[in-house]
Amino acid sequence: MTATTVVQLMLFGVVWGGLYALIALGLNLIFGVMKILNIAHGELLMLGAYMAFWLFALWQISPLLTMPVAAIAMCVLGLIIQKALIDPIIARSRTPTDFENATLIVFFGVLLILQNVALLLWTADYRSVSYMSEPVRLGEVSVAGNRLLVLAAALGLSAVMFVLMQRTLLGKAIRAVSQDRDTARLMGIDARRIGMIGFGLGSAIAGAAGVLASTIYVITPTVGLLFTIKAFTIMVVGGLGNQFGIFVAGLALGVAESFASYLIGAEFKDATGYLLLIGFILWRSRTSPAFAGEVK
Amino acid sequence: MKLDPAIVGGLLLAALLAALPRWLSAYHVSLLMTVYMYVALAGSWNLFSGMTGYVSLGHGLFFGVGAYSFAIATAVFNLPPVVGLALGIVVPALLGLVLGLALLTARIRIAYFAVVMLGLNEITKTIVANVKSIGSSYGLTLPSVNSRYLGYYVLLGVAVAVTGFAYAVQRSRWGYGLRAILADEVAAETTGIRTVTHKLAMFVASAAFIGVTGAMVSWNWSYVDPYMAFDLMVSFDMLVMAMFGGFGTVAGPVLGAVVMSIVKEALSTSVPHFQPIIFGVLVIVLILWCPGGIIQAFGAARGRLRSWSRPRIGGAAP
Repeated sequence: MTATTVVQLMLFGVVWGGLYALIALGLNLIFGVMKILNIAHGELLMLGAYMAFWLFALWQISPLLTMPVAAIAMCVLGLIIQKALIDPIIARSRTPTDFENATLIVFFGVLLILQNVALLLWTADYRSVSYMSEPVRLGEVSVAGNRLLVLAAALGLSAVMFVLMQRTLLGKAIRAVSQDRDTARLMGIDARRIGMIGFGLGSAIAGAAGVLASTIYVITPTVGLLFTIKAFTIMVVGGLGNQFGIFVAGLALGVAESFASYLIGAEFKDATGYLLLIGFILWRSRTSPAFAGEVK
Repeated sequence: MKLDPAIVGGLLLAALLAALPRWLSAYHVSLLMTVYMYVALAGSWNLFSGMTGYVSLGHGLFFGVGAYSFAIATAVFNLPPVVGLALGIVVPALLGLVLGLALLTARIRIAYFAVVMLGLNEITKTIVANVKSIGSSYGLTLPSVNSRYLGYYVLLGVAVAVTGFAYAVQRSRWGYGLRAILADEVAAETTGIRTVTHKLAMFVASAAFIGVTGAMVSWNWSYVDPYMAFDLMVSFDMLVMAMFGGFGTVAGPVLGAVVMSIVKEALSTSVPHFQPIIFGVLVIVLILWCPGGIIQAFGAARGRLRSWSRPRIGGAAP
């Protein structure tokens, strides 16, 4: 492996990693404030990606313009899901386990519906947005312009998220609710409202990330779950609620996948992430009691 | 000795179903086989996840491993199908033991456990799809089933065995141990219940039952490829059916699987394109309306049924 190849692989890895990190930050927000394992998170990303595809295919609208539109659309969809499906479950759940089980099934239903509506409307054809795909030369390595765009946008949005969560009162409230809902409410925080905001924001990020993904990856109605699982991997490895850890874990996963697909073969790219996740969970749950948390 | 009405009723029903196929059309026989498959899958999922509270999102792993154990034995090594079915029990059980020793002996968050199982299913699918000697992504062609109702009886047998096993466990000392784990694992451990042994045994049992179901189903398909064997929908279906019927009860997963598999079949014949969407809507509506599963809705109407089905400790009994 020459030095150029290494740099090239690193760069590819960082582009994917930045995108993964962004998605994981959104999932972390939802998991934090709502304690929901949202297995339909990737479906919102898929919808965002299709928005980018259609707007670009029909009217040549730049994905950069679609990004805020998709973010707002997915935010609205997320809020509808929250209002219509999650609130009734919160109202009647007696134990956290009841709540987790019920939301898991509900999001499974959401996943089925969104995936199959997309399949009916847009068929299973592979779609992609060929936007800014001309290569840009950076010294020895060359990289498609859209990859640099994805990297820049993912880094930018992650930075915005970081500032929002660490430097604003809203971010403080979100972190408080994530850490201890009851205590946060005693401090006068409207936990229900924060839950809505967190869920909406997380969904918006998924929509924006979908637009970015559409420029560097093929879109199909079933693309979502792959991203959900990866985002979950990153969230667990980076540490729940630890934004910086999640960001680093995202980049690390992207780079690891990039090297794995070069060294072992592209078909094992996705398996690499799962192997890392399983290894990590096994290792940490045996070495750190705090990681395992309460048994149930 | 007093006869247990649940056992007598169950055996009578099984005998009736066993006598049924000669009067049914081929379509209805295959429909009943699908129902038995889902009863076996949902019941096995419930054996571990329902009874201990560790929700697994990837139990379809054992279905695929069972299917491939059968396929490799019969199609690659030309062993008789009986050996294939036996391997469909043994290999998934051993895998379950190894995974259980790795995952269940230390503390692990349920959400992490759920997603690790999901990941294992996907990894195995990828690996199988890339190994040339077992057909890679093209899959393997299997010998066809040589006797007309064999699949019917094997799947009925597995469904009855899973349900009977769950019933026996539920009524035994083990059942109390498991319910204690479900309610509060730390408290269960301090009262001297060997929690790891309990969890491991149920994990291995559910793996074995799902494995043999996968082996029989793949034999019926007479063909197997990684995307059918490790289809995520298998993992999701058994979970949804068990939860829909009633999490942690014996009768719940059976009822859930019967109702849902028939609804699925009816939808896919009448409105094929909209079947998954309507199924999704149904899943949501039902979980919003009867959170404890249909067994609880029945239970509210008929107190007798509830005392038989024994809702789990801490469950939302009305």
